[in-house]
Amino acid sequence: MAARRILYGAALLAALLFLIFNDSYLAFFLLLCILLAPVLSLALSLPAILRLKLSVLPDREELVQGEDHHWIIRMQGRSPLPVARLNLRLSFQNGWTGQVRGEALSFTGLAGNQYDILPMDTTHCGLLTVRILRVRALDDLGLFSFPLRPPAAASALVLPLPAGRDAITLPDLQRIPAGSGGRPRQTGEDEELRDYRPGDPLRSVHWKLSSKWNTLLVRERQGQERPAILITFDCFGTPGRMDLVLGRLWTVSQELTRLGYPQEIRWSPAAGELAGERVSSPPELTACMRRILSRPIPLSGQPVAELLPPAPERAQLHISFDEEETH
Amino acid sequence: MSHSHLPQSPSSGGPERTSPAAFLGDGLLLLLLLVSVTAFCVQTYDLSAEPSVLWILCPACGICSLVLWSFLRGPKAITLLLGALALLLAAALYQGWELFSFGALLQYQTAAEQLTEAVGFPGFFQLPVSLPPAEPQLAFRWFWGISLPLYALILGWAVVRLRSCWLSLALTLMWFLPAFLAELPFSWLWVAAAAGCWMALFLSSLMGRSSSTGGGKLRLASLPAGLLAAALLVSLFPAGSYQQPAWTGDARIELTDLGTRIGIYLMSGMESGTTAASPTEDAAEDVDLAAAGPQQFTGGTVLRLEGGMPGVQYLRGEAYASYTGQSWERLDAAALEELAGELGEWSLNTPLFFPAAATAEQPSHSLTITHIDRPSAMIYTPYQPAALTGSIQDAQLTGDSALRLTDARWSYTVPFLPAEPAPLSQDSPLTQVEQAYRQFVYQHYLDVPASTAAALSRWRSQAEAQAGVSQAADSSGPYGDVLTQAARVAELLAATTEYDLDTPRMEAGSDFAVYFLEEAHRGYCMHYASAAALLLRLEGIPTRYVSGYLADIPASGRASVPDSAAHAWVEVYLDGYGWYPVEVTPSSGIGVLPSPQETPAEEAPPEETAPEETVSPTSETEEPQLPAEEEPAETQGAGVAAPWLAAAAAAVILLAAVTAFAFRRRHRWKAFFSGRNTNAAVIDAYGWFQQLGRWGGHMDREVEAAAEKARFSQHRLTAEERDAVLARLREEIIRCGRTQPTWKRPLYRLLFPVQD
Repeated sequence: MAARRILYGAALLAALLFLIFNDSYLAFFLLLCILLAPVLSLALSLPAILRLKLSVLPDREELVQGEDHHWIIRMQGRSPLPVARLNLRLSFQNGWTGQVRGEALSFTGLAGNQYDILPMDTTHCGLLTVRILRVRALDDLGLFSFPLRPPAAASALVLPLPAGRDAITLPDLQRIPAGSGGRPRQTGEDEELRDYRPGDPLRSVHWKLSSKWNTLLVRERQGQERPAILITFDCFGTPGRMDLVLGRLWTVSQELTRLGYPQEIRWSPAAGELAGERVSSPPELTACMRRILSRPIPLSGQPVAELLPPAPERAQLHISFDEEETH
Repeated sequence: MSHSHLPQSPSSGGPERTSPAAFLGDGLLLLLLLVSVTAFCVQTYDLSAEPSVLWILCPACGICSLVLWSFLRGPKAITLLLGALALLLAAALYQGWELFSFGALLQYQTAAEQLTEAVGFPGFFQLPVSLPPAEPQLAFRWFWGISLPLYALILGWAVVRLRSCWLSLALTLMWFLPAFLAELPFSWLWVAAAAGCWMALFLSSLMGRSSSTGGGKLRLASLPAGLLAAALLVSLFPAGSYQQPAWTGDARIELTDLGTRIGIYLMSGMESGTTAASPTEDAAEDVDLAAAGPQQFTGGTVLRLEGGMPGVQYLRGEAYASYTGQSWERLDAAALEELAGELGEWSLNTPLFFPAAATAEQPSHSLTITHIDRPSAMIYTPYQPAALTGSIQDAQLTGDSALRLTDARWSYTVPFLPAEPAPLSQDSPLTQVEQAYRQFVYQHYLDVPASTAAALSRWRSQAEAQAGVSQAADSSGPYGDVLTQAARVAELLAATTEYDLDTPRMEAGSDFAVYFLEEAHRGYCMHYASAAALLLRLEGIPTRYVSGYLADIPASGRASVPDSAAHAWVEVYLDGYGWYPVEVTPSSGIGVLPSPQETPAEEAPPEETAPEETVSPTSETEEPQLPAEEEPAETQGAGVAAPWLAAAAAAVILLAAVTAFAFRRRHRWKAFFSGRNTNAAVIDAYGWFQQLGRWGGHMDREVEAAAEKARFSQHRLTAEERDAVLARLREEIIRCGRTQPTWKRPLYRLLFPVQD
């Protein structure tokens, strides 16, 4: 708009000089018209600018890495007159990789409800956040720029691409007690029967009823949790490697959750810092992922094993880029 | 970066969908523009048109054009329709070409007459054909019937389809401009209507073609607003009662002065306006006649005047007594000592040098003179300065020729009294002094070199024979005989020579006046004043050469004196009165100042009587001329400064161009990374690689592949691919830069603004 301002300034100067060096009414009329034009422009554009509502949101709040999704910028013009031009400065941030990208957009002729879609960068998983840092609306002549209040930031969680079932190794679930690990079994507790799931310990199979119903049934004790499987991973490295690590973590956790084994996921988001989440259901897994993906990963860091106290009695699984180590 | 994902935004090929708002807004704008232009042309240029043209044909053509450009989409449809229209038009022209061309020529003749009458340009357009008187009405119908649809079609294309405010403005303003420039009387109704439309066009220009709905809504709202604003302006500030604001006069003078100072500063460097000029710097000691060549003027203002009398005013500077053939010189020191001895206590500031001071009348006028280029110690005085009071009370005579201040000043006020010459009364105490000074004058202001005197006497006799009897009326009054002789000399000079500002310098060693009269036969005020002074001296009339300015003061009392108003004339000594100015330079018709005869008689300064008697009846204007003492320096300065000025301007333009180019290249380099179109960035980078080849750069196969993909593939390159190409380009630019010789590196860095 600098060009328009310069052009208007030049026109105003020319009209002024014309008035000074020419005594005709035409020069006076021309100068008045040029002076009046911005006033008209403001009178026509300010109502529309003041009644413009802006919002930004993702087309899906949770998605998987590599999927094609978009940000939606919605502009609601609640005035019969249009807004001549809207300039936006946006910031796109990936909380996992730490990448921040800026972009400037310009929209012309906003009348009624309109929207724009911007591609979402799902190359890496992470918590994506888009913020509109600055909103400026121009008058009809493009001479004045009015700042508007930016809308709230929007975010979308890009979950890792799940690893294949053959790419993960589950811990030996046979060794994991059905009840709370190490505690004496109490008699007279209620037991429930359910279908066998792969990985269920054989000792939990109710052979008598299974033979009767001709399907494998297992006894599951109610009112007592299973011991949580400790899953750890080192939270540092390049985004590409960490995407694979998280993919495996996602698959392992989903599988264990499906089998009914709660997990305790532990990682070190920064040197000397230990974080953890207990996961026993898909929403909890998603929340854990949101927590993991909202902090940037360093390129190097401290292995989580150095921070955790040894617990040989617990079932553990360490997920790394190369392979899983189970204990 | 402009965005085009908006679902309601049109495609680049034209409006995809015409909303009712857009249709209505565009239609009203087009119709109003068409009607206002047609009505303005008909009324202002006095074109012949029936009322139906304005109120039926115009709207009909506008609606057709609106419908065509609003709803017809696709190049094929438009081509077909335009082809059909062209065929129809060709058929119509084939049938009635003679009538159409005759109507057009008649209209053109009418408009041309209006314009030529307004600007005073001689000659009129003559119709090359003639038809019976009954035919013109039919011819006009053919003219409007063909030209108006064509114009509506073109205007509709600009307003409705292109939505271009600049093209629409050009297509409509072109009909108004001739009338504006020629200052034809016109109706403000249609100008205001057009101005309202132009405001609406510019108010919706930001949206342009990107939003037909938004643009249409805005046009619909801004058109009545613009019309209302224009109507308010015309009604609140009617043209009939308009008077130019007073501040514009001051601003005009200030701007002119500023321009002059800048021009002087550029031409003469830092010294102008920064150091006060000493009295001796104001004027040269002598008038170097040998250096008087073709005149050049900058047009810059030298003096600013305020007050005085409306009309032509002579501003007297320096007077010179001794003629050597190559110069005019002041009285020498011995003569001045003699004068001081003869006059005694009257030797300084004697009223005899300024006769008005000797009268009992009080000064009736005062003129404030401001020097623009630098402060001055020498005082320029209108005739006749009455008293040395106020800001010039410390002024003193230099010899008997000029007034000087004790220090250089930017501005001073001179009281003066324009009065007819009259001898001193017998009982005046100045009578004795005047007689003493008269003797001095007759001793020193009648000298003519012997060789010059012989040549001038010879020329005089030939000129008298050639010119015949004097055509000028004899002057009356107590000094009528002297003034009549002066008028005769001026008449002879005008009859035998030609006024020419481009008169070349005289040949080295020649006598200036003799060369002028016998060889060149052309000259300007320096030539005429020199020759006249000598000729009058030969007649026994004490005469001296005077330099100064000739100013034209308007009724407002404020005037700027350009350097081209510099002038030279003579003063004759009237016994019992004193020095009196006489104009001897004939007019050439190119002067910018009106003649003194045009000034009101009751306000005419004394010198105005002289030109009436000395200038020939056909020549009524005075010629601007450089003052003699400043002329050589200014001429030389202008001649020397002009190439420097041109060189400086060229350097500034070159520097601006280089800066703009560097800025553009740097902007392009940054745009490679920030642009969303990765394909375009890679293709541009490929172009840079090719440019780099002339500087020894090489292109990778990967870069070529990426560029081919960007150019021909349907897919868009990723940001990583673009960054890889740009990183390679950056490396290559840096590598090539290091291999360039030192003298090539500035140009290289200009072309490839990449930091190491």
